[in-house]
Amino acid sequence: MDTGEDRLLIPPPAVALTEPPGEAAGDPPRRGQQQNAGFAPWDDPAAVPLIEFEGVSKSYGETLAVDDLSLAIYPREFFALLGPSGCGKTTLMRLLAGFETPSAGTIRLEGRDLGAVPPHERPINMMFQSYALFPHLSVWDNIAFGLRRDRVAKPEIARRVDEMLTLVQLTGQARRKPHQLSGGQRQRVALARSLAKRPRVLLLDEPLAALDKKLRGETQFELMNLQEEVGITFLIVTHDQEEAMVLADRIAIMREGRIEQVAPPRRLYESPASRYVADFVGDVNLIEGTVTESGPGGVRVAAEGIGATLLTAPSDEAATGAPGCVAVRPEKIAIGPAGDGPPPAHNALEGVIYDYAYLGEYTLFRVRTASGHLIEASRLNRSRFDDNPLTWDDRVVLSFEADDAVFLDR
Amino acid sequence: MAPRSPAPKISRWRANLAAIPPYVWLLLFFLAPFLIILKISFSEAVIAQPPYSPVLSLSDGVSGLWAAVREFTFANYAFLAEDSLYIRAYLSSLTIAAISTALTLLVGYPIALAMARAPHGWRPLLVALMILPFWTSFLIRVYAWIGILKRDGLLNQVLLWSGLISEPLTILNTNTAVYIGIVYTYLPFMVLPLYAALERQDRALLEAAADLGSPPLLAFWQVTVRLSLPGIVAGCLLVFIPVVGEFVIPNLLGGSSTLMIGQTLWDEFFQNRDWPLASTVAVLLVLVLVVPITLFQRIQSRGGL
Ligand SMILES: Nc1ncnc2c1ncn2[C@@H]1O[C@H](COP(=O)(O)OP(=O)(O)OP(=O)(O)O)[C@@H](O)[C@H]1O
Ligand SMILES: [Mg+2]
Repeated sequence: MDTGEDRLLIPPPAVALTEPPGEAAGDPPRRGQQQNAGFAPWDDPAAVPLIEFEGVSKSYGETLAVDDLSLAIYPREFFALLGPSGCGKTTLMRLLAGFETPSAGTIRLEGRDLGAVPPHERPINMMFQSYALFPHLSVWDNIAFGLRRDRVAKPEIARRVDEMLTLVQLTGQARRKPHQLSGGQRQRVALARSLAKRPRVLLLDEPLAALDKKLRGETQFELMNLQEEVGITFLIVTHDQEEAMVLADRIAIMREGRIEQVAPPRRLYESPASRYVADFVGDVNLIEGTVTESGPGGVRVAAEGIGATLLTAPSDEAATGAPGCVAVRPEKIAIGPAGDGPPPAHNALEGVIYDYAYLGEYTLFRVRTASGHLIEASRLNRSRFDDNPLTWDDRVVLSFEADDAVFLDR
Repeated sequence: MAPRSPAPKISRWRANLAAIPPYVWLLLFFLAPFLIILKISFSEAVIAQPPYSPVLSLSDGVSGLWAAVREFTFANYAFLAEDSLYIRAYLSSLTIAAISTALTLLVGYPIALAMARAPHGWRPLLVALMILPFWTSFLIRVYAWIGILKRDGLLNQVLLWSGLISEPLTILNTNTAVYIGIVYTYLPFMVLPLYAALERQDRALLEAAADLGSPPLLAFWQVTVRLSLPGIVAGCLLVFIPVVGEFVIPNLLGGSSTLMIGQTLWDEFFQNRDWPLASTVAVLLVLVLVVPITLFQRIQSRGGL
């Protein structure tokens, strides 16, 4: 567990910058590797989605909680929903579980329209954001509740409940009532209860938010294992980007009831579709400008504000003369003292260090350019010693590869 | 006691202090009158002022008290046991109380549920409407029922006019009228505790039950009804206990065949002026009622609800 857990704790920028999650000997298989190993049904036109949202809207009076949303989730996929508070994540799950009826559009499971299927007949279980544990039932009975409905044989119920209790490390609390548990323990009961039935689809609404880091890491790992064993399709809501990246095959970024972008973690982080996504996932520098040239070699952008011409990776969206912005992540920007040899051929910005923070694994610099813009650059602390320390008011040169920057037109 | 740890002792003492007012209340308004009644039930009826003997007098000192106590008699209790009228009156009261409690629950539960599920803003108004009848005299409201239920009353007129019946129904002066009167009068006492229990229920629990595979009716039973059990018990006790001793409603709406212990009690006190026997009836009534209350307390303290 040790090595696996350590990796979970590394923040995504560092992982992305240096190397993909390593393959220590004897490590159990991880989803992340699987996903690289070719689990990508969304790219396969022949793949049949398990869940389909087609033009689904849900309005509460004036509020449009879900807005003409279309989405396909594939069998055995681990799908994460990420987005700011109130963007409609819970509503989307409740629509799928059947607690809300869409104002428009259809939701299908295995091609079958779920419109007329009541919640108790949907092979979908949900872990509620508020847990919704039955206060009069013990932990044990809460977990057994769904199994009893399925007419599972008694010894089998006992076996499955004990298995779940072990999974969420609550064996000692089985006889307690929910009000005698801590917040994190309650959350684990809710998780165990929704897992116990081994549904086709499991909806988890912020399932690990109340857990401490260690337990969260272990539970994430168990969720992944469970998915491999049982083949459950997961739809998870989380506020924790790191968690979404660790767990998910694909992540959807939601904004005001719509989906802004759906992509595997790496594509989402490295090729965001919009400023909103780039800004929402991780840290990013957004530099406004106008396209002066666009081709297979890249996009040249005149960043008038900052007074520089920047080159980015090629983009289909870039038309000469169109406004847009250059997005580049702090860890993609190299930082060095000014006047240290000839400046880089392109994508070089000069400035002074306005502020910096030592964060252990890396140091984050905020550099003020002559135009007054603040650019963030981070440097991985590969050595225990800082050979050429940079400090406040040092003149520095920032530079980045054209391929490490993307052009965004929206 | 170590000198450095007096604080917990004081705070425990304070906590006990806070529990005193309810006990004083019980002592003054329940235990003291009950002891007086209990004492009278051991006395003999005489034609005098007061109409029983012996009379306890503190001026005679301890020896005088002891002399009085030695005159105590169980004759009244023996009499009650022998005369089947009293036993029948008790049983009939308990039956009527049980049936009308069940009816009140049946009528009250949907009302309480509707109130609890009503939009937030409406609820205070609905609660106010529920207790609105208390603003007029109870007696007047029961008299009004006479007007409604009698042979040429409102109910029969409406039923005849609508063609549902061709002969007027005899409702007044039957047990049916008593049930109607009781359900009507005691409905708020049932609805309010039910409403309190239902209103604080988390609606997500019903969804959780449905999510785990319970069809709506089963989920309603497993969650809504089960979690409102404390309200059901409280409401039933609030109706059952006073109804057992109810006097006015059977007297005004019931007939000659309606037998309730409240009427018997009244007759013994005011018709026969047999205070000791009436006191005996009252003491036994308290005992009959104490049993369900203690049972309830037991269940509740064990955390069963
Ligand atoms: N029952 C309801 N009645 C009215 N409006 C609602 C209701 N449920 C949700 N909304 C509104 O719909 C929008 C989306 O809510 P939702 O609960 O789906 O957000 P969320 O993305 O889950 O947020 P969070 O991350 O805070 O849980 C919000 O603006 C919310 O106020
Ligand atoms: Mg939510």
